Amino acid sequence: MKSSDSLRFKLTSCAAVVFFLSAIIVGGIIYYRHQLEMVANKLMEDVVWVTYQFDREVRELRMALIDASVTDLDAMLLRYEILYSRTHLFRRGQVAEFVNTYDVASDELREAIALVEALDSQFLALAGRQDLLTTTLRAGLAEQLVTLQQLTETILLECNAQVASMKVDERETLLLLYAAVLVLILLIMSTGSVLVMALIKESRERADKANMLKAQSRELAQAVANAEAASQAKSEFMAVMSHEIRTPLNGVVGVADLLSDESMSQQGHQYVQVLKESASGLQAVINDILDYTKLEAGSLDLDRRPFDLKAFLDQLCAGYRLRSENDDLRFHCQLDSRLPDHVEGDVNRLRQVLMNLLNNAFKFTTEGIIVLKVAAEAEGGVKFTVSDTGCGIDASQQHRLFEPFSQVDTSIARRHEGTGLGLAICQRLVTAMGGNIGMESQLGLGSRFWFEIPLPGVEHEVSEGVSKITNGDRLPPWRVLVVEDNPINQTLARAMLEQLGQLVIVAGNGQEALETLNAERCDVVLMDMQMPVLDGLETTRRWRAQESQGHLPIIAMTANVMPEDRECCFEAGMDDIICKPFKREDLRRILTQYMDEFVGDATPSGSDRSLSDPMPLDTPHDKRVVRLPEPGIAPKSNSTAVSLSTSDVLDPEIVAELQESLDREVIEGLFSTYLTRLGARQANMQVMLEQGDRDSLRQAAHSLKGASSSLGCAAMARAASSLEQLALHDDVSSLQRRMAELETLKTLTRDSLKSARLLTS
Amino acid sequence: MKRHIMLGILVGWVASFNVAAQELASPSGPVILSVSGKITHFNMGNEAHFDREMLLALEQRKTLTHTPWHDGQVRFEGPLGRSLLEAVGASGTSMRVVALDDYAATVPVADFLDHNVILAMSQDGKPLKVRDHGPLFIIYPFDEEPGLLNEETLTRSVWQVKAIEIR
Repeated sequence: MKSSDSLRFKLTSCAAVVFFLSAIIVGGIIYYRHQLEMVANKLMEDVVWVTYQFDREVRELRMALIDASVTDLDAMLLRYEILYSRTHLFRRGQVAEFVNTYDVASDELREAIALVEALDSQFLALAGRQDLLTTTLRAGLAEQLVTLQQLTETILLECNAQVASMKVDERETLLLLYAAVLVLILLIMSTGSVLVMALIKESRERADKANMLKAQSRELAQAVANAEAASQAKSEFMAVMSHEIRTPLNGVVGVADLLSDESMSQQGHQYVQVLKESASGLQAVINDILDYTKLEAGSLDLDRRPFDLKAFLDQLCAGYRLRSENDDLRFHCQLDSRLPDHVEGDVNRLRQVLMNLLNNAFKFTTEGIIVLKVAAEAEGGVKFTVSDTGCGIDASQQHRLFEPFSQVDTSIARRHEGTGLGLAICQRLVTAMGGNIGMESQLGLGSRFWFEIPLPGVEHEVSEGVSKITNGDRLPPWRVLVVEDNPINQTLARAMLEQLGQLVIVAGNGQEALETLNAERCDVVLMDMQMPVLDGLETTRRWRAQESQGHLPIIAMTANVMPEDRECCFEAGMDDIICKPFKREDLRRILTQYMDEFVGDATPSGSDRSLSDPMPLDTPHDKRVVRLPEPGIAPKSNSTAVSLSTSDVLDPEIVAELQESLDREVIEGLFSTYLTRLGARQANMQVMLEQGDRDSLRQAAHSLKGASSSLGCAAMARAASSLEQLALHDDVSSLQRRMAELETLKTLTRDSLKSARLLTS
Repeated sequence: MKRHIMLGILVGWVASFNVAAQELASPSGPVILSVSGKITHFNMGNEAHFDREMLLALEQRKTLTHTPWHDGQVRFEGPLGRSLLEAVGASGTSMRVVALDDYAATVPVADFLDHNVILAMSQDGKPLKVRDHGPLFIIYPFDEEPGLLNEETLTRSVWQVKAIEIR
């Protein structure tokens, strides 16, 4: 239907064009013929005119002949001369050509000219001799002229007839052409009207189509709006559910925390441990979801305040150092000496990102080292790098890391719990803080995650979020008023605070709290938000209105973590917020902030210093990290390891770097682990070689190369590299030789390490 | 080239001065052309009559051209139309040219001033007789100015001219 329409349209267009061109051509022909006719007409007129003149002149001469006796003879002779001149026009020029072409009265014309010429001698003889014009001569001349007159009359009539017939012919041709033009115009008009009809039909169809598209786009927009609304509803549902789960979870976490301090059986302790771990896992998941929901909603508010960067990092690292206290895993924190003491930034968000990266590193590293490096960058930037020697991430998976709900693969997801939101949250937080985040990793060798954010240094300010009172210290006993209506939470808060050595007073609602505050002195208030009688916000407002001496710190306890909730708390006059569920450590941290003001400028205890990194930091920061091996280190030579010196076996630069950045024991641990695993690697490779599994052999060699070069065992790395290159193609005996070479190098490396005092046993 | 033009103008000016200074001579031979109407120089009543000698004394020109009445290119010779106008001190805008057979045509004076129109007296070196469309034949330079070859100009190409009346 559609295609036949378009075919018809094309045909009609073609026809219209053809007709139009034909009309133009015929028009051109008509114009050309008109031009020709103008010339021809002139010629025909000339012919008629000349023949008429010829005839007339004969008549004039006859008249003159009759009058010649009475008038001048010369007049008659002049007439003859003129008549003679007329004959010239038939003998040459256009008229002669016309007469010859159409063969008009040619016999008569020839006769007439001959007659005129015959008269010539008779007339010439008369010149000046009137006496010769006798009556007989006159009669003779008259008779000849009568004959001539008859001829010229015939000529005139025939020419006239010829011209008339030519004109009729021409007119008929033109009429035919005009008729053709008329027909063509009619055809053009009809095809034109067909085209116009087609165009009208098409434009109507187009309008219909446009209307349909408009309707579809409206439907699409509606669908998008619906989808957005649904997504919004889902986000809200998640936020609400998470919030609803938080409140009872507060009880679970708190009770588990308290239970673990109770004396009970070994079995009981194990159960409590499992309970605690599960609860904190659940808490982490809920926190992630809430964070992500907030980030997606775009309601992330940064709380920029000045804080002590080094103290913050010391505190953070202290916890991880404890976690790494086993033989296989070491944790190191390296701080750039150029870092400013006090910086401005959102310390809580920074902690969140760092903990996420460090937790990941610990999660995926079973042995080796994890290093947190903090370096000052240009223009107030600070770069945080977390490197590990864990399982690493395949290059093809790396780009998906920062997408939400993506863990590297499902097998890892089974082994390690998590929402897969951590890195997505980190990325959004870092971006929100005006920085950027990135990573490099090699499968089987380790990963390095880094982020750089602007943390401009500030002059010394009251530090917040970082305490001068450190983990080991006991808190001074303060009078703490807990305002909470839920009996479980009352018990929980009381127990936690008492364990922190605080004196606890409990009030069941805002009204009771105000009464208590009026009756006795309190140092700090922990205030629940939703309570019967008088809620937390209103209670705070009333107290602030009547507060007479000093400023009483009031800390909100809430599960509402959205920024607008925080804003409400601060507007009501609260000083801080502690998020439910909280642990003893959270309580401790927040209390310390207010106690610091009383501790003032007291010298920090020795234990504080002991938490910071023991290593000197005056060397360039980039040398203090164990370098990730570059892929494919080419072997320097293929020579056997027989005559290698220590400097050939070990890369002095890397060894120096290791010594510079790590403790002796750590280094020794690393190397002994390396050598132990080397034996196992060799055994595996031998099996692979015997089974002919060359691809696995190549991968094992590649892995050995990476491990060796990162520890500076250069000779071993070279041997492994050449083995890697040859594994697929070389013959078995040659590979066996190379395996033997590895064994030699193992001994050589051990000896070199011992002589370099990097290994004692 | 420029110099020739300057010279031409000078000669023309001097010539017109001479003509203006002298009275128009009287014809000694048979009169072949009489000019009447708006003229300032006369030699017969209020007309100027010319014989062959007087016409030959005017500025002459040769015109090589084709015409509808001849075969091939023909060489015509005779006085320039505008020199005739000068000679009689013509001041009109058009001319009534009358032939021996009383054929008459109106020719604008501008034609004589703008184009090198001659009153041909000879054809291919032979004097034009009445039987050859003489004695005077108004010849336009058709070959030099092909634009002149049109119906209008052709009707103005009067042969056997005997009188001109300036209007």
